[in-house]
Amino acid sequence: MPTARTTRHYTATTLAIAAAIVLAGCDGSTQAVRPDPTTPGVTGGPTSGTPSGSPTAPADQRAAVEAAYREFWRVGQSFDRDYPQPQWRGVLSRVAADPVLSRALSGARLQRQNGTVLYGQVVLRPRVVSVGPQGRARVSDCQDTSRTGQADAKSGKHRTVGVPRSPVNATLVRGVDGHWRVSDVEYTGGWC
Amino acid sequence: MRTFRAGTVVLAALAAVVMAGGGPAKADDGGGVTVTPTDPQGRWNPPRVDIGVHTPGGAGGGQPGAGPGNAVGAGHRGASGRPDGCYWVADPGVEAVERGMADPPDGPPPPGTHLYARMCPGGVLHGWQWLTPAQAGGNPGPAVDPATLAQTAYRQLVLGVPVIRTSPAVAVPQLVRVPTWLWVDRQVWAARSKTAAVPGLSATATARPVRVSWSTGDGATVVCRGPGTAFRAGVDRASGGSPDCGHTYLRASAGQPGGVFVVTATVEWSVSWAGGGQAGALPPLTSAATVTLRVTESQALNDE
Repeated sequence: MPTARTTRHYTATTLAIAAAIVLAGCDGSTQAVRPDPTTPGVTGGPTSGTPSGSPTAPADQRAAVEAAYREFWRVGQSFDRDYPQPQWRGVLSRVAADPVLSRALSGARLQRQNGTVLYGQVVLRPRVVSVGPQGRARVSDCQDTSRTGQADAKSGKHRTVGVPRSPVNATLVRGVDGHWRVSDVEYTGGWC
Repeated sequence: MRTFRAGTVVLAALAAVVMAGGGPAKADDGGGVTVTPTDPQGRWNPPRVDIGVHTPGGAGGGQPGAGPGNAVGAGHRGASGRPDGCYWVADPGVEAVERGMADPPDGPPPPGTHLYARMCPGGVLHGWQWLTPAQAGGNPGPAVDPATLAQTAYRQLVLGVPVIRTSPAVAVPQLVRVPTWLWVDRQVWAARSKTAAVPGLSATATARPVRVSWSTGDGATVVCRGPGTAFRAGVDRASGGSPDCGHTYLRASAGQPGGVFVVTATVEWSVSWAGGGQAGALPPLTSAATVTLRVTESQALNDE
């Protein structure tokens, strides 16, 4: 099958070069952010209020939003693998809020019941679009999901895979503890 | 309603070529990998509304159509001409959360629909979609469980953070051996409720303030059965204690870090729920606030 292999190799090489050229223009970093060890400041459940502490400069807020966004993806892709199921909500609620929190928990349960796990990691290229005064922020991302998806838990066989440049819009909300959490994620479709 | 972009199909095709050519994901190991341009992990995208549901499935699984996150699944069906074997699973927990959103990105769910997760062969999750039971292949819809709805409402409760008041006021020094009145703003002292609902059923979780525990910073704890009584200047005697919530410091705060006592008021909330002809209790909640008080010897002030 030398001809077929050569053709496939040529196609893959061409597309890989094209992808590399496109990716070279991106400013995203794929480095993981260290987990924030802090926990919500109010015990027992959800509350409202204004976080204490000195006012934060806008640049710091944007950095905090981006860090929270990166942490969401780090935890969100591994909580079901790293923790027993009874701890999932507690772990994920440090970085996520409803509705995406319940969505992710239910999704993880369904995937576990059906013998599916996630493989790989989303590569992020986030840009903080806005940080509103009401504790709401928006992030625009151009994700590389071409090395991640769902796989058979037993065989490791990949079932889905994404694409190199997938546009994503995310909403973050700031909790009473002052921490930002992702509350919604939307893959808009198309190309970025 | 979101629309599926034609460009996504092109992207899927391009990505499929990449994968067939041994691209970076190396995902196609012979069993067929589904290139999913939107949310390949399956858990993140918001539910879709009535997009491309073509043929309700029969026994053993529906035959759902293409949503934005299901592009290649539909492509597989189109290419093979066979049902793709996907089916719908009712998801009342997520449905209650999504219905509780004040401003859902896709607008309110269409009447008569429930939220279903789309499961495909190999255990692959392709997100959620609002469907009528008929569209979901005869699935009667979510198993209605008031307790589950109540848990959803419980998680959405928003409690008031206590605003601490004292007399003498927080900003001025308290005096040793002179009663300090303690109270929290009345506006915090009110029941809070949230309701979660699916068609035909709702459950409401209600939190009621029960008591305030005051940690006064000098080692004492004062538990008050209500918010405390606000001091009325010109009416109440400053030298008299609060009728229901106060503390008398017996030593100055001079030796404390910063020269102050850290005072914390923790409101304890009892939580109950009711719905679907049932009712019950939920775990209590707390909300807390902190201030610092400077406490001085009375003599020091007398000398001024």
